[in-house]
Amino acid sequence: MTQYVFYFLSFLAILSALMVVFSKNPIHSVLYLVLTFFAIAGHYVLLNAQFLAVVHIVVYAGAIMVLFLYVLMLLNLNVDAEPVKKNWVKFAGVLSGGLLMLTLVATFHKAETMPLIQDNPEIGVTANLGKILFNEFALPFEISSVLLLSAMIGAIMLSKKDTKK
Amino acid sequence: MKALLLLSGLGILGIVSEILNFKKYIYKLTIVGLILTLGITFLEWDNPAPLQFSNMVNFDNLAISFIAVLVVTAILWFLTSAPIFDDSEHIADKTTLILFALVGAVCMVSYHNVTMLFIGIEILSICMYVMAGSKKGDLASNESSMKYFLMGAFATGFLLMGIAFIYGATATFDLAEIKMYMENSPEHLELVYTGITLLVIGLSFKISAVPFHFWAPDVYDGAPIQVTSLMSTIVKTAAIAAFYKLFTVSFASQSIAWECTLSYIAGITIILGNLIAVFQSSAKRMLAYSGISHAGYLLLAILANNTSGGNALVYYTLAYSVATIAAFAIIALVLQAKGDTNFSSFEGLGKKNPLLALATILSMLSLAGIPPFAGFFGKYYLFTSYLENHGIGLVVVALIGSAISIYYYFRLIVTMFKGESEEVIPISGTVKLVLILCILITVALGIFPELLNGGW
Repeated sequence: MTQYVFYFLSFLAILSALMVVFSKNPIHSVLYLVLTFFAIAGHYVLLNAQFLAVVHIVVYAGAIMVLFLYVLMLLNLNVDAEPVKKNWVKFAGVLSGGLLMLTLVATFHKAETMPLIQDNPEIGVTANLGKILFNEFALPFEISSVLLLSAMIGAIMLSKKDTKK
Repeated sequence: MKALLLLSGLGILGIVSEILNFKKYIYKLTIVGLILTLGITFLEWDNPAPLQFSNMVNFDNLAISFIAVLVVTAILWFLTSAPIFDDSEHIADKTTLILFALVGAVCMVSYHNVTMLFIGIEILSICMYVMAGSKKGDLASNESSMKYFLMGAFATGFLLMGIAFIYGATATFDLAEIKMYMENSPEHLELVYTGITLLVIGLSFKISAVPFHFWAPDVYDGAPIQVTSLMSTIVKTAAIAAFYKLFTVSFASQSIAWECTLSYIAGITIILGNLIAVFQSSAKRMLAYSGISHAGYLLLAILANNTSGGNALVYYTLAYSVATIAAFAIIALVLQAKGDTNFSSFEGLGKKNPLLALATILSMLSLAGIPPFAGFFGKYYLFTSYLENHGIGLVVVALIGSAISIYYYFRLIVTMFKGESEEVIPISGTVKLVLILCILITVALGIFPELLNGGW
């Protein structure tokens, strides 16, 4: 059963990711991206990481994508304004992307695959995550507050109108 | 550990100063605080605290030396960069952002767990994206910020994917445990190899090594000159230190996976960076390309894959940072006086401003690696540490690169003594102090190179 769900979700994720790239209308791209995020959240649930799945939907599909949609609609990018890229740029892009894909596929093909071992089936539950976050990963957790703080200060600094010039 | 806490505290003091209305004093407070940090950092010298916070950070002597280099650079930078703190509107924001960038840099040199590395890189990068765009009315500054942000975010993607691959293979983020895994399981390292390659890509982006350098010239050129100075000193030092630590601590036993790639990257970076620098007509852009080529030299320390490589790296980053800070301070003065940074603006400087001329000559000679200045011994130590267990090939490439670099560094010096200029560029007292300090450090490190190259 889980296997079928896995294949379905993977199919959905890859298909909608491709549609993000190929659709002409940027709004459709964003909506397909939301679909991709939901499919990936489904994968998280399969891996027993419920908290991550919920956060993923709330933050990415919810907050970020809504913001994205707003910006797109405000900018009115519906018109076909994408600049035409030179052929050699396209070629270089395809080549390097293809090489990366080849490497990744070859890696997973050769790597020994082990069945998923879960020594603790409750690992993804919020309570356990919290315990790890506040014991083992206390320092990175606290230092990320500096990261958020500097992002906040930066946003305010760049967006605040100067009073005098 | 104390440096990390002190710098974070100083940053928060910066925000508080905005609220409690004492931001007039924050510039001076910051400099005093940084000097204090420098002193306190050395208390932990040879007195390694046990690994703290479940092995998240490791303040060994190498990390402390790098922190000292970063803090010294930051002090010199703050002293030369009074102009960007002049508009009182954003003084607290800018101070805080730069102090937080330093917090990120300290995380990057002292991490013992890859999560700390990642968070450190992100803190440093986000502060720099904002600082690059801090001249809000200037289109070039906006472009530089946007470009830096997009490219940086893209590179971070590679980095994160690399970390994920390494975690997938080893099931740990801890440097020592990754090292153990690498040494004990010589088979089934496919995931690790791909992870290492992705990490090489991500980190090469951050130190702007060719072929991942495309963002650097535009970003360095567009950003306000003080920020460029910060980017080519502190950011580069922190990134290369992080690179060194990850590869020589954790991946040393699997050097077969990255040695070849990294050698080519280093060679191409040195040659291409220096060659393109020759054709620049703006001193700022020339220094941007010379910064790229220096990233190539720094990579030699990682390829050396031994402890003397680390020592050489500390020495080289200090010599490079001091010379670069002085060079950018001079270019900033010329920019302020003449309105642009083209070589022609430097004409006649030598006769009217002897201190500027002396500082330029010394920093250029040091960057070019002419004895007996600091830059020469930096390169010397790098090459000897590399030659300990490698052939001469890459060193020859590096020497050819240095020979090319002499051309464009000397071009600036020659321009200074050519032509006439009526005006004397006014230099403020603190900038004078910094220039003299930079001269002293450059000469002292050159005459007594053993000062800093002790065993640690």
